Amino acid sequence: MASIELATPRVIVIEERGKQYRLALARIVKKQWMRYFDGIVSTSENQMGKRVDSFDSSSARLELVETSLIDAQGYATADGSPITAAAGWQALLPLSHRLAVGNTIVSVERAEASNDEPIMLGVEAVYLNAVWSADENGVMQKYRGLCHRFKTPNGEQQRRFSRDSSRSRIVGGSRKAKTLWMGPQPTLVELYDELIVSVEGYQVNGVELGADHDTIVAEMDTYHKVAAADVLFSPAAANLSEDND
Amino acid sequence: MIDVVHDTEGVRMALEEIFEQDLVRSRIERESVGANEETRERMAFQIPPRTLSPGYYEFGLHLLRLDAEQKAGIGFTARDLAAFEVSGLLALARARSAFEGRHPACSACGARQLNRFGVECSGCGVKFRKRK
Repeated sequence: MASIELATPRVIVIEERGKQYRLALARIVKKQWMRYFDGIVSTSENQMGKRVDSFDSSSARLELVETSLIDAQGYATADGSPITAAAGWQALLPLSHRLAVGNTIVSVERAEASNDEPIMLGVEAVYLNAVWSADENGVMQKYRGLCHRFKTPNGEQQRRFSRDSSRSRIVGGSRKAKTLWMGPQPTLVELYDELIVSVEGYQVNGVELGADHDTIVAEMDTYHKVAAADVLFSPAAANLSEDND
Repeated sequence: MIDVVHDTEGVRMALEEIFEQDLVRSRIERESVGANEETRERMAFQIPPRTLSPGYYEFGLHLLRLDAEQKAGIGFTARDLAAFEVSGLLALARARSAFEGRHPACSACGARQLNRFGVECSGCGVKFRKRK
């Protein structure tokens, strides 16, 4: 199985009208992901007695993309200089391209376990599919069956998840107004670090992360941590696709 | 901006609404056995609507989970809980007490009654004795 290389910059290739644009992103660190999660606006309100949910991560995603881009190729400038020479060049890229990059870096979804995977007692396996980076030929590759094995959560950890995923604020001055969900992502990252046992499909500088707990905690992409822990704690409700924003 | 977990009165109101909805829902389930889809849909209109913002109900459900764990004998102390969860569990006790006062249980089958004034159980049909 091909592995995601976590240490090298991610290259996202966008094809438009027969032309290829290559955008490189520096490694997105935990602090940046936390800022992204903080910027997600997830709300719910009662309309005619029915709950209506809304979710918007596009602003946070654009900000994340703009702070992570380190190179762009395929674009022309008026004076022929490289686009990266211009101040604030990231924000000059077409909005559709920045959004496409944003969609790609959060392209992580739950995958089903393969039938030949044995059940391991005391360990719960979660599988993800994710788009990470383009290969040498500029083809975006989807990595399938990325495996995260966890210790079974205890009651305290389950309660902590339940508590933090139910936390919210009401905006608008009355109890009937809009609920703004605070989001359990920081808790999911903590729980991931506490429970992770081993992973498959991830490497750093060519070395598989395997079952080295400290290395997994230090090196695993924070978005993948959240995605995997979310499946672990809310298996029935897991829906990581953000395509429907 | 209201932090839901600290608005215990709002949480209590939401919990009472959850109890009231469950009561109506279980009655509908009982009465709609064999009914067609259209009748079921019409009966569902009897479920009282939620009047508060969804955050109150979500935190209420978390408190109900905690309460269920405690009732099942899963041991955890106040030390394991956040202060707002302790206040929330007290709000849950108040909400349940008010609900149970409005809807006494049948002494024969345990079914909650729609009000305190019924002459027979809505579940098993047993006649209630009038207080002299």
